[in-house]
Amino acid sequence: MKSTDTTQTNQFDANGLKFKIFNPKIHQLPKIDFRQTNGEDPLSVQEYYENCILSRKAGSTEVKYVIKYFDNWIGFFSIDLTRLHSKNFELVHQYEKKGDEKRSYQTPTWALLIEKIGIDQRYRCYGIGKYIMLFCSGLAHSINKDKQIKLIIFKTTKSLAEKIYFPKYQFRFTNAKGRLVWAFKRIN
Amino acid sequence: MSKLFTLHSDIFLECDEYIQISEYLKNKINPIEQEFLTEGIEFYEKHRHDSDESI
Repeated sequence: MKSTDTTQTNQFDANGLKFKIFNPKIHQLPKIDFRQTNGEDPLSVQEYYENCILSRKAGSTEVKYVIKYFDNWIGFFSIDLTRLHSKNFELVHQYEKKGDEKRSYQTPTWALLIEKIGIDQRYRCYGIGKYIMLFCSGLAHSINKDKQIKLIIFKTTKSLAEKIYFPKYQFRFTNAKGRLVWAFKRIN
Repeated sequence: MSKLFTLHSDIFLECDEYIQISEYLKNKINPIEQEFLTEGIEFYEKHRHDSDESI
């Protein structure tokens, strides 16, 4: 599976994966289809890839990693340090008063945010998502000497959270009425 | 916290989402999560210098 679509097999060698910090000056990636197989792009992954990676524009604050499998570019993800707050502090404060444990929710929670994850349609079902999660977990641990970062968090579809991220990788997810949820997992 | 990140972002969650995450954080990491994290640390160590190599 080193070069073309036609050589794709069910064999996957994780040793062929490389995670590179995207450098728009040296990395020239091809056009890749990151949409869902039904053509939808509910998490705007394709849009992000075309606007922020394919166009090779520098600018945004997040760190982008691009993924190679032997000689092929097969995906990317972008990460950022973030602070989690509540939109409605008053409601959280009321909840805090009712609770047994006195804990201040005013202090924001630090998290490693995975902003976007894109995997080439042709390389799905090889567990590459797991390798991205492992990489991000290890990265978060390596930069977390002071233990401030509590979580890895990312937005995904409820369907993926239910079918993959929770049962396979134990990522919890928020109860949401809409199609999108926050998936999260503690790292210390 | 890290040289990798020069800035950080802020996310404002819905109240129930924020409480759900805060409740989850009250518990310590469980053995399954720890196992995944340990695997992640090993995986990251193996790949942390991938960017040093040529294109």
